[in-house]
Amino acid sequence: MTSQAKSDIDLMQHSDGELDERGVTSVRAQLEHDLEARSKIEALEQMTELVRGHLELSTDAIPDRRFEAMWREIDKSIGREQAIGREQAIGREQAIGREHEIDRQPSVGLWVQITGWFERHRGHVFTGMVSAGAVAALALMLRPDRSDLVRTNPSAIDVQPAALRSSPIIEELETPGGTGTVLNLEDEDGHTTVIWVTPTDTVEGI
Amino acid sequence: MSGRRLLVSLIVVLGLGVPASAEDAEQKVPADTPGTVQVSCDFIEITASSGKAVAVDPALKPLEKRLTKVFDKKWNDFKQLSRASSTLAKKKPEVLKLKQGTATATLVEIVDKSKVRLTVEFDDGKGKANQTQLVDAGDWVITVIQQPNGDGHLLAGSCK
Repeated sequence: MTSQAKSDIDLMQHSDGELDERGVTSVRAQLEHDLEARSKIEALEQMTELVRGHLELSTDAIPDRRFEAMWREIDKSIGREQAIGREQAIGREQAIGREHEIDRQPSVGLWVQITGWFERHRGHVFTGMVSAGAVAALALMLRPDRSDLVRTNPSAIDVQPAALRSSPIIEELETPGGTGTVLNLEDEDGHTTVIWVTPTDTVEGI
Repeated sequence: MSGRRLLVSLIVVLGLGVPASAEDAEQKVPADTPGTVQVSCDFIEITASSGKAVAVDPALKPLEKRLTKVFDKKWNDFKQLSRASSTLAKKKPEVLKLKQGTATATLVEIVDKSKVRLTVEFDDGKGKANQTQLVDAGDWVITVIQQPNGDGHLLAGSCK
């Protein structure tokens, strides 16, 4: 390879940014005093610019539909990979006997998701319903016995004002081995009835 | 079904059955059968004696005025021996726990919704009194058994 050819290659590599630090220093030193080399570098840069502009225009010329189709293909490809990954994960989960499962395709319908959730948590739902029933049953069992309310009425009588009350009546009186005397006293508090029993061996009375 | 779920289900079934039984009991027991009507009565056992000055046990405050008025010429010293607040069920004799002697009270019936007919049996070993009384709620009946030494053994009762 001649020195001229090597110099041209160095210029091209410099233009493309492919030279190492030493090469760059060498080429820059050459460009400072070599007018022809500078002309070649300028020509190379113009050529590079032309090529880049042509490629960008070519890219813009591709219809958007093609890009969309291309991205759809890319998405499908990614989705398939994710689905495969999920199935593999499900297989691993089932293999170790776990109850938790990863979600299925996120794009499935709401009803499918609800029924799927119910299938997975059916046992919990029934357990919850039964638990609620048990709580209600316990509440019914532990409530106050209403039958007692019917049977017991601790205040079955009304206390009338003292002025409306009548004197107590001693309907029957037996004082075995003695004598009995009945006294009534009425005041603003009501009536007080005294049944005085004097045993026969007791001399004194009221 | 697991054992725990089976147990909970049994509780539910039994729990639902119990209230039905209670309601059946309510329907089968008429309200006015013996033991279904009750009244609250207070019975106070008192010893009365004669002292130098009037002395009424503070526990007898509700009865103080009546005691001093009725027995002012006989006794002036009153002490509570025992007190029982009993719920009398119709035709069910209630034994009253006394310090001295024995007593039984029985609710015969309620009259005019404001009176009670009671039988009271009081025996203190020195004397006896068996009586049936018709008394308004809030009024008092005091049975006195005079003691050989001149003191008094009283059993006061009132229902409401």
